[in-house]
Amino acid sequence: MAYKFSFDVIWGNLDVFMAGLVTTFQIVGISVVLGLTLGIIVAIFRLSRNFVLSKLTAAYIEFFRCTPVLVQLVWVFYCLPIILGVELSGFISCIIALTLYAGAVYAEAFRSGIQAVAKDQIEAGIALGLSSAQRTRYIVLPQAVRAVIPVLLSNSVSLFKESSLVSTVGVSDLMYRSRVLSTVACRPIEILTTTAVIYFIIAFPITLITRAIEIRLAKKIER
Amino acid sequence: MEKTRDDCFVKIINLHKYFGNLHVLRGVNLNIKHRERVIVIGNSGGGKSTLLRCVMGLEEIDEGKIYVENKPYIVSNMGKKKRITMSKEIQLRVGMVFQAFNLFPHLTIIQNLMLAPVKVRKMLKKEAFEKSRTLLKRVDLEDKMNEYPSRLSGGQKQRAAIARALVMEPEIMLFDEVTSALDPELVKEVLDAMKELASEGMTMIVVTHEMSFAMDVGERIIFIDGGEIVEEGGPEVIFSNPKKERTKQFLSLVLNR
Repeated sequence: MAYKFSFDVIWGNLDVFMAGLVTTFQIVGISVVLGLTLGIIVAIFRLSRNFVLSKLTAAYIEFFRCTPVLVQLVWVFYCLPIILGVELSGFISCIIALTLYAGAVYAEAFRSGIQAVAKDQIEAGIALGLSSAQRTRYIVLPQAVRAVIPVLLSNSVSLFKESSLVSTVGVSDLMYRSRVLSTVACRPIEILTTTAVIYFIIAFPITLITRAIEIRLAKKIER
Repeated sequence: MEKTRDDCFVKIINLHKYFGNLHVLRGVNLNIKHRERVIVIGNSGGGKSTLLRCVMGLEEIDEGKIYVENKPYIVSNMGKKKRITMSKEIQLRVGMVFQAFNLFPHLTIIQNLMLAPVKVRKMLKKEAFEKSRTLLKRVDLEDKMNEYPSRLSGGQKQRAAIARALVMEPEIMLFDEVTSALDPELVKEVLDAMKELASEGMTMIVVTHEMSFAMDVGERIIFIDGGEIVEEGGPEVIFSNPKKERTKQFLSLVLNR
């Protein structure tokens, strides 16, 4: 017996997809902003001459980069409330977990960007009398951030996809609502395919933009 | 207070610098007077650039002392534990121009000039802007002030870099092979800017391979080889009548190119 595809269930439930997408955008948007902030601070600490600070941040980066995001989510969702003794909503837990994960990934990008800034740029800053903090703020970071924008964008696209894992702890994002809908409507193939298409429609243009920026940056370097 | 010509401005005493096991500067002694133009020549790897970089504070010295107007600038204290101290205040009186220009690529030319006066000297932006524009006019780059460095030719970049150093009003300028990265036809415009600066009485230490410039502008020529000053004297002495064999060899190589 051949399976009969029926996409009627999609058109009837567009509002469900939309509501899920809004939650996904909220979670990813907040995590990206917080993660970028965290990442830049961690990268500076990672490269600081302070041994303890550098090793602690290195440990943080490697821990979050080398463990599954799913476990990190579960850990924050179930364990953090026990340790801290506070109630955290699923939404907040997910933002904490994804921010910590994104912060580690972004920190690595920022670190490579900072290290790629030519030493003679820093020397020009010294010769002009700029302090170490001023050199970081006005010479190194602006160049580093520009150089790693493509990496940051591609990391963010990954984060957007990884965010679907929040559905496992019951946060009603796009993936969660699709799964509920597919159970209720008994049309998992159509519904999950549609969900994938929605993720693709959002992620793909960003990867195109990333490519364009990469090409522009490469041109700039060869002047 | 007007300083008389003969006052010792910068005094370098027994300067040593190692890169690992490599002894790059082997006890350099050098006195520079106010408004003096000292040209440093010598083979690559002889320690010329390292000497400038030590004076700028870019390389930590291993031993020795540098005084500016008899005040300690960079000093190694040879106690139980070696410690190098440097006066940031005096460092601000030294300016440097590099071989590779080292302009900040993310800033326009005028922003390149304004950054240090605004952030370090806490100058008002408007004031820094006017000052920077005046300097750019002097090096004939006023029309390029809103361009990014990548849009400029090598000669223009280097003139902008000179203006950027001057905006901090240094009392001594260090030039580290500033024409070596330039196409031959662009060398003159940079040398002209330096000549103008010299004629205005700027104290300068210039590391260069441009021997005609050295003869023209230099008041004193220092020949450095193997990390030490082999010979020094006026350009007429060094170029036409060097005493030391190593100087003769070097000059015969570079002058007969």
